[in-house]
Amino acid sequence: MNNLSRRQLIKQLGAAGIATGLFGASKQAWSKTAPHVVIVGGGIGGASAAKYLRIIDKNVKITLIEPNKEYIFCPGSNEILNETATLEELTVNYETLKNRYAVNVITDWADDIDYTGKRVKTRNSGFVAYDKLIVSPGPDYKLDAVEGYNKALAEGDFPHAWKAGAQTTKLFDQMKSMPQGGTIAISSPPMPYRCPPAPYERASFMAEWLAHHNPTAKILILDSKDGFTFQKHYLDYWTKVRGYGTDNSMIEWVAAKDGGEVKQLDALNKTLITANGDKIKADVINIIPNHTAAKFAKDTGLSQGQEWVSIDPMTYQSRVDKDVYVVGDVTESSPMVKTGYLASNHAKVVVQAIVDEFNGKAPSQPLYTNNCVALAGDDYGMSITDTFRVQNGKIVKQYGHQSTELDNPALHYVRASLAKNWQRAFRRDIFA
Amino acid sequence: MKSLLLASLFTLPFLATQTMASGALIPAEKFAADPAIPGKILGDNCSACHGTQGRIYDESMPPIAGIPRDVFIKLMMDFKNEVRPSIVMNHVAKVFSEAEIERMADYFAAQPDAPWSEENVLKGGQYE
Amino acid sequence: MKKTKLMISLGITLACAVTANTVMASAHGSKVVDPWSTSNWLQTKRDMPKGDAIRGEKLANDGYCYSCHGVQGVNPTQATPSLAGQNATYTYKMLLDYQSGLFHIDHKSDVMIDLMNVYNKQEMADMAAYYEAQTLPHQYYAPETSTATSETIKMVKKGDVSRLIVPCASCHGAHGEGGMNESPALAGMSPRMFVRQMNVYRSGERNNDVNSGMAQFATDLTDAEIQALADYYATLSAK
Repeated sequence: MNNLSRRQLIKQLGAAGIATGLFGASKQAWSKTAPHVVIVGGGIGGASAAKYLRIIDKNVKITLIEPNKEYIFCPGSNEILNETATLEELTVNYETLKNRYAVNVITDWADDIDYTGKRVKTRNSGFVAYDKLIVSPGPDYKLDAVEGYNKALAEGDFPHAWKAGAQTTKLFDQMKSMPQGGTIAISSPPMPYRCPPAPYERASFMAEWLAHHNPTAKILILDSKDGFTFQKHYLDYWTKVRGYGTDNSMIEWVAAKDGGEVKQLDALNKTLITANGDKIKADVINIIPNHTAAKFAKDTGLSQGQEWVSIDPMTYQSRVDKDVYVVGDVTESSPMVKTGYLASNHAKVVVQAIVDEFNGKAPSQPLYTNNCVALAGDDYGMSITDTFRVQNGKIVKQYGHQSTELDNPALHYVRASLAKNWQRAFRRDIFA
Repeated sequence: MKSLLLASLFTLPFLATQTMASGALIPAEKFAADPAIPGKILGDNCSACHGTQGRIYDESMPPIAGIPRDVFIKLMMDFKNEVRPSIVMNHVAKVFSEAEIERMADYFAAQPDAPWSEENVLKGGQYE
Repeated sequence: MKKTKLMISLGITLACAVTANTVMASAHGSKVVDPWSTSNWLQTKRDMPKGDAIRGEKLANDGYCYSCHGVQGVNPTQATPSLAGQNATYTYKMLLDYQSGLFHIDHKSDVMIDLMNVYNKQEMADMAAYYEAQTLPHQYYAPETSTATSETIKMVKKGDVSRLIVPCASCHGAHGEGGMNESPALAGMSPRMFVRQMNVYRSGERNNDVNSGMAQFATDLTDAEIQALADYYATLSAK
């Protein structure tokens, strides 16, 4: 197969050609010698790759394989819970990538990679041949890490809402219909998971909503960790406005070392059982699940039997095949955390490396930043600035800073405002 | 529940040491032996806030496309050296060497000073 | 001259009366803010507390104003205005207009609107006094020497009687240093800022001027005239 010419390959894979014709092919006709870059996954990593590849190479053929017709941003989706955003605002589609960036979009599942044939097997659209493949499938959730929790429950009465969408709305509705003085229990997972401060932001936004509508309600955060990002800010804010540390606190946080880790869900009795055997009955239960690499990364062997996909941090080339690159949360990129900001920056490095190779150039030295925001309330923002470099094939954290100031209301307002400006800017940087 | 509350109260005095937080800065000069990072790769890290190619004009983060080279360098050096303190940018800027800031300045000075939304992305493409 | 201006102002005010409310979109819903009437503004100006520049400096530093507006209010970018040397009454009024939501152009305005949740009128006056005490800024984006044509100078100094446009200098000062009342200093304003403000006056998105005092003239100027005036005022900056 390796020896087949591109033309023969295309002939053999007629189905692939038809597939791109049927599913949203762009108006451009591509040169027969144009290399074909295929991207699996149209989230932040995949969409960034498509857009930024087109910006630096007008002639390459780009195909994006993504099962959903729309993408709902996770950054900003906790805002559903304090009613400062709607799902509609967070929803984008692939029309701009298709029309403005001439990306072929195939609405289908990618199921497997034929490495020797250099083609992706889709569920309903046959094979799609590639010269270079970028894989950005995100994480999957290990629901059974909490005994008794499963997919049916997540899609039913126990939404994790860790992927923005119907479950987010469901969680909000559950909070709304909770009786006065009811309890919400949130299980916060061990690292690594996407957006480390998000469970605490979620609890904060719920508290903000409850303060107006159900002021005697309680939120209990049961943690599998002993600390968390922006902890100083969150605890300070909760102390100042939610009575944290008093008998009347709306929010309680239980660290792992105090038995906070959730081990089991008793769905029938709406009860969580923690590591030290405490049984906590709650009106609303939100289990944020443990993460692992997406099934696609495991099925295709990209993860090499590990939890995450090992990559060469210089280019995010996979360890399995030199023509396959992997970006985003699915990768083993520690000491980086898993954020959309970093996923988009992985993607920019990958497309530069691919185009450099097309042009016979060595890959450039990369740099990855994670300059991100979170909120504790509509009037309180925080920022983080992380920078990573690559030295001797390893990712080195050059600097990490979290905002520190506590007693400056003006600054909290500015940061909250900046956070909201940032969310829009970030969505546009990837999808507009 | 009560025991939990007590437990969590107990943790308060230890918070300061637990925050998963900030690492010390490794000066950019420590990476001087590595190949130079091109201005574009450095500059593309700015796009999430300042827009694609620094070309966002209707949000509170300023556009940086087309910014005169010397203005950019002065701004970034002032951020880096805490001459111009800032909410975020001083922590962004202090990781870069002066040479890197100059390469970023060249990159942004060369970008069109107009919103990215007006860009005709496909112009110049050679299609069959 | 006064009479002419009054007549224009009355005419435009009537025409604008129908669309005179600003609807502020925010996360908390829409807020309708009434524009200034002359009497409201005059009373507000009389009630403006006396600003203390020393207190203002501390407030401005604690509020991280320099992050966007530059050290001592001199901003080398064109996204946000320099505040150095600005007429304190103008700065005070702008802060009030952010606080009420009357000044809301796009998402850039959100930061100031949110921030003004924390300041009272005394503090606003203090910060305004601090910035007024600074020297008008050097402008990075101006031509080295003035390229202003005689038409531009004429517009500044004499206005255009045929279009009932009063001279810019009559409100903004002979050297763009700002007027007696709330008229801002223009010297050293970035050209882009100048053009953007004139355009939002023309479109009606900016309507926090008292009695359409600026909008009425902005609507009569051409794009080329506005650009020429922007470049002219930028070159008047400190060197």
